[in-house]
Amino acid sequence: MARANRAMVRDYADDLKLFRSPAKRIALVALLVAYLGLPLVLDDFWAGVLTLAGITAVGALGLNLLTGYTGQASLGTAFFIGLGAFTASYLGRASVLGGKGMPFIVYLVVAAVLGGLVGFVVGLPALRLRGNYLVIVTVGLVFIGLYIFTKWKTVTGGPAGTSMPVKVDILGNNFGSLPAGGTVLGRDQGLFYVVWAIVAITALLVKNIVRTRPGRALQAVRDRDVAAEVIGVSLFRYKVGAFVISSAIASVAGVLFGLHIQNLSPDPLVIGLFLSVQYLAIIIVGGVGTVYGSILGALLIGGTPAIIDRVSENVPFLTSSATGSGINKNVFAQLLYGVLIIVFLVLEPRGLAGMWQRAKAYFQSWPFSH
Amino acid sequence: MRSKLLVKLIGVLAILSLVVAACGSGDNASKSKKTGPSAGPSKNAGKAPATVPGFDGSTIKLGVVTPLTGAVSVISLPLTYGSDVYWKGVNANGGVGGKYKVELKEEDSQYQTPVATQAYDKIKGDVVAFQQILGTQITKALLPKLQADSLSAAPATLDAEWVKNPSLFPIAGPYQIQAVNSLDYYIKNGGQGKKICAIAQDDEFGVAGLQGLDYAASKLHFTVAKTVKFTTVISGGGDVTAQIQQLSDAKCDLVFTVATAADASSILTKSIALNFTPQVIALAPFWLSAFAQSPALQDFLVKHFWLASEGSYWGDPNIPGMTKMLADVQKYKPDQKPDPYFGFGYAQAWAMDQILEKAVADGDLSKEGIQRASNEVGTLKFDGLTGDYLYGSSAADRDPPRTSTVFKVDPSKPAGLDVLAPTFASDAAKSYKFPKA
Repeated sequence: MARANRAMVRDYADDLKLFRSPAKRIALVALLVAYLGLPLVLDDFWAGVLTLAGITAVGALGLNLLTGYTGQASLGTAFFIGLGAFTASYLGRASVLGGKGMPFIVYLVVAAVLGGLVGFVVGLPALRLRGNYLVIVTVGLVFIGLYIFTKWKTVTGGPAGTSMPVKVDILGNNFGSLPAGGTVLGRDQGLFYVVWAIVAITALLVKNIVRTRPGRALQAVRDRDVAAEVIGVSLFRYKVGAFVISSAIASVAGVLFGLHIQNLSPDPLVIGLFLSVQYLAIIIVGGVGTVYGSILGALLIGGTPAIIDRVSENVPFLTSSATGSGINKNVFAQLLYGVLIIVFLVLEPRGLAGMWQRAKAYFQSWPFSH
Repeated sequence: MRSKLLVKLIGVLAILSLVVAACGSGDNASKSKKTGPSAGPSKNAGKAPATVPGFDGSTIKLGVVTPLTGAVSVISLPLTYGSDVYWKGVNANGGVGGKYKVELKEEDSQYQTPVATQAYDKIKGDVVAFQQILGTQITKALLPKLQADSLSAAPATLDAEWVKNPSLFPIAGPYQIQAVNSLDYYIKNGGQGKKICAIAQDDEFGVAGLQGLDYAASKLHFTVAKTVKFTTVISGGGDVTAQIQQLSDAKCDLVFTVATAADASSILTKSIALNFTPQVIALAPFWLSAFAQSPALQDFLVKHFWLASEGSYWGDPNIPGMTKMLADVQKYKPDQKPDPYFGFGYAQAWAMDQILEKAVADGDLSKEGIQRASNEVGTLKFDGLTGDYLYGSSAADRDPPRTSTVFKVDPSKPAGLDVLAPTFASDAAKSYKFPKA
């Protein structure tokens, strides 16, 4: 008897498997090899680009859970990024700098808990508001947050900002300065391991939520919240719960962001509304309502300026010099960024994840693809 | 159907290029490594420096991380042009030590810390030092990297915090000194007993300016009646109506202003609109030459505005450093309009030249060699273009110029400024102590 196609699922246990096919398991091994090996070969520039992309992916995963799966629009991500970063700074920096000198795991957990608590408070209006009204509430959160961060000098350093913890101690290893093969890895190479491990854990967490009963409840709330409530889905539990988890994840991203840039001030250009809009753009480009779409979107949006940067020297109409002629490459990157968002919204609303799904379906059903 | 295929193709190509580009470490492979401390004087003195990253035996490369685009570029572009013109002049005479030409490698920071960090990481393996890093917050964020990489940078900001930092090569009197000197001049020239207030932008530059104000208040025995803060237009603010109204209601005689050119126009126009005409003293980053030619602002500026800065007016024939600069401008950038930021960038390059000359004499253009040279250069001299800066035998010994110049507005002058109080150092400025790094 012919074996069933591996894309076919025959029982619930089969459906719950994350890596069902040999191809997926091979891909997992390849990713593991890349995870372990890339920091050893990447220079500081690319390590920094991929580390920042990973941090963005963590935040995007949280936002996708809230907006993509639960349908709760939010522009408050920037506030939680700031909250996580300043929590890490206050609890983690050395006592001579006014901090508490706590280890990484402690301030990471505290930041997540704090983010969740604030997310609970922010989630309450979600029970009565939706759409644009809810978005405005989250926008207000960003401005309130900037004001608090500016005034709370003990924690944030006020307008002058504050420094971040230098050491990133995990299980006795300082990932801010990790020895490897007779040399010492740079900070971004070491952080790469921490960040992408957290990306994997967060992706697993979100995936497990969305493919089980809570995930189905979240999607029911997204699609028809009144009908969902009628059939017994608690709106309080799932709307507020989505805010709590999403905010906790964003705060974790904030901790990592602070460790990456090493010095942060309550600057609206860095943790202001534009950052929240950028996260929204990432999940749109990556794929709303998908887990790996968040990661793909972060890689694409984070990687595009870096790629343009690299190729700009060979492109005649791009320049990076004040005295050169042509379009400034960063201006070009921003132009491309805007074009990408429009292209995806118009031509591929499901984003990169949608493109991947169609490509996969094509090859899975080959030679009967259509 | 065709558009779906096209989008698929674009998506796959984009992801592939990202993977390929990321996997390639390129010619600029540089991983941060811990380096040992410098050990004693150079053993290569008098010999040709060995090639190192950023020096290939004939050309010395210096990095520039500055906002080449955006609102702040109105300051950063003339700064960069100033350095560029200086080095063109040096290169025309054979280069540093008569042998080694200098090339600037510029990257756009967009005035954002994460972008600046990436820009730094991109070029740090290609340069021996950084000619310019603009932005107090960006400089602070890059300091740990500079220290880890043993690189040095010239900050294009005048915070007192940079004075004794061994990774930085500051020039000119800090903002705090400008503040103290200008307030000293005001108090001694009719300001005694007057109501002194302040408006400052709510960031690190504002903090620096207000530090100077507080120090001046303690030394000159006056009280600041009211201080208001505002969010800059670059950070999404810019409307200062409420702040100006508060100062007007308080009937301030002097408004000490800590703001950059990005918000200057808003502050001035709001003051004029509210019929509020105090004496205004602002620090150097406030000024743009175009203000002096603006019909809406000119009258107010001429009657009520002083600028605290350094050096002399553009084109002063009594300043040898100015004459040298203008000769280079004529040769290499004749279309350059009078701009104080250009002069600052020129002076920054002049400072770096003196340090590099010493490093070449030591036969060591490595990162550590350049830092050692900065501790051997003694006093940085600028022939009056800006104040001389004592570098001493270590960063801890550095002493910036304690002098400032107070300018008044004169639209007939180049850059719209004329000297009101020529270079002077108040007792209060001389007593100011700079923090350790």
